[in-house]
Amino acid sequence: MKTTESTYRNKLSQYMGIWRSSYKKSRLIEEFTFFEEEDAMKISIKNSAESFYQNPWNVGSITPHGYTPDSNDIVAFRGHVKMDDMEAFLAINENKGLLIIASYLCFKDNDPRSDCFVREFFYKVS
Amino acid sequence: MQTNNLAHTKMDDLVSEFYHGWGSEIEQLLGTWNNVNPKTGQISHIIMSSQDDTLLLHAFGKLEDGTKDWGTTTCELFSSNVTSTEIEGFICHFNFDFMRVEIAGNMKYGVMVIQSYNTFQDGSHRNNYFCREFFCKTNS
Repeated sequence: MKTTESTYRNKLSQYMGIWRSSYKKSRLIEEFTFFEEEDAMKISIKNSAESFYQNPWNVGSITPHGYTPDSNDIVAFRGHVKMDDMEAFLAINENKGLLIIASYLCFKDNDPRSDCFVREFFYKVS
Repeated sequence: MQTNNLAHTKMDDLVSEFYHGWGSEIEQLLGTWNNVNPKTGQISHIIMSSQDDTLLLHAFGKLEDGTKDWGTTTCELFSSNVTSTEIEGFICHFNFDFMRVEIAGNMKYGVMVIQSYNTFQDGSHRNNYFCREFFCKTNS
């Protein structure tokens, strides 16, 4: 019999791997990878060719979320990625096999670039 | 031509000019589109092709074991308003003996959104149902 924790982990495993933007001219992220490191879920991100942010992304932390407090269904993720010049909060939700990422980008210090919001769709590659 | 004299049911039916062609290339729709939900019980994948400027949709239903070939049907193209030449959506239908499936598709950021309206015609008292799923060109 599966424990709640093992069921949760099994559900998590289906999300691990590479996800690619559905839109060839994506504004920010071309693809990303969910992976596990030291018992924690992480994200690595590759910019799109036309992205307005061209610096490399650091590995970010990911926290899975269920639909209700008493369910172990995973329907969304919360992500944080910190770079020297920018911090990103990622609001990620799943909809019938698509992952939708709403990225909230905040540029640091006296950077004149406006904080901005990008929403993009991703499908699982592997 | 006085386009305001055209028959219409609402303001947005009227145009100031006529547009005869589609501005966006039909090629963007062509190819194999896979359902991004591996657990779907609906359409597993779609092959879009064209013949003499007509868009053709070839659908495959997901079965417990494999897929069912629904065959090919022709699509009617739509833009988002009467003056736009961008292809933004299409409708088509499949008529099986026991049921009819109306399909309404639209494009959103490279995702093909397929809504199917399923009507049973066999007297089995199954409820007609509606489904909305997402497809990507996963081989590109």
